[in-house]
Amino acid sequence: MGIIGDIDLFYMFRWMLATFCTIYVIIYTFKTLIGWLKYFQSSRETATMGRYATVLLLRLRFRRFTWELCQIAVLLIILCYVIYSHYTLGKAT
Amino acid sequence: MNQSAHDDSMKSIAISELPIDELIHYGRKLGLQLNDKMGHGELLRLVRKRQELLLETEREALLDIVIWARRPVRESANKEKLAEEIATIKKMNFDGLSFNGLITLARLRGVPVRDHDPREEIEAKMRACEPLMNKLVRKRRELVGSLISKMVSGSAGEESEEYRFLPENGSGPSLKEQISEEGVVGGIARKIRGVADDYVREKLDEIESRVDRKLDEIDQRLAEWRDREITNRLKIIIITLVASVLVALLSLGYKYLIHQ
Repeated sequence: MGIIGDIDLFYMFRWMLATFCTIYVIIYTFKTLIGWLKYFQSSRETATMGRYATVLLLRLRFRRFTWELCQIAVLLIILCYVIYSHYTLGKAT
Repeated sequence: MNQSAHDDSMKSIAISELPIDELIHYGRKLGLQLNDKMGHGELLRLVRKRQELLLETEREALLDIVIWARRPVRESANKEKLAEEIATIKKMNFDGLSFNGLITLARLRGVPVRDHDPREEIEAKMRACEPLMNKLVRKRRELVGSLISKMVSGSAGEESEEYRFLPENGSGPSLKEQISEEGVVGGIARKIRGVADDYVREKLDEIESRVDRKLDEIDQRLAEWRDREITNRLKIIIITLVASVLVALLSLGYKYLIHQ
């Protein structure tokens, strides 16, 4: 069932997927942030736009996203519980 | 009288030509509760109804209200200016307000009252019609106001001065005085310059307020766009988390099967 010798293919797939996804997300996020920063520093007009965008973000009201944030919190709790179950199952066996 | 009727008909035509946002702004300035979901016809009807109410109302009653609320206005201000000022009054303590003023205020606030209703009944109706949120905000401000005034001026309180109107526009030197001071040409030139300056200032203020309104509108639209974008991003995060939870559950099931 996906096990060749001592190597568990599914286990390997999980770790590779997690590693590649994490590295990709970190690199892509930094690249995007640096891209925006460079764009906002490219001229006087875009600098003004950048300052306005900052103000627009600072004026954000989190209450408007209560429902989405609650969903994210519940899903994170479930995910943490499932990961914890992995360890518990591993220890039990 | 003919001139006034002509002005009113011109204004009526101008109002019917206003775009919806301008019409809503104008109606709100006169104290109407309007929103952009109302159709153009309905907005126009409400604004005209308010104008008719102002035409029927005595100017003295409007002046009584602004004096009672101690709002800074000129004694020569027209009914519309007075109504704009009255629309910003939230005061609910009617002590010192004349009976005519009270009835007019009730009608401007949209409270149905009759001329022969007793004063207490009118006041009770107005209190009953005040929205709960406004009542809470007013009570909070009253409390804060009394605390701050006690801190600033002690327990003695402040004696309120007698109300005075703002100085009139034409309260400067007359043409006769200007000519006697600066000669015929200088005096007339100064007078004309003053009138032109007033006109330009008034127009510039009007343009500035329109530009400000448009900028506020753009700002509001951008804020809505920002909220939409953030909601979409959060939905993507939710989808990713759901997928992660499903994969984790699958993985847990796999692990369980392997160890069985």
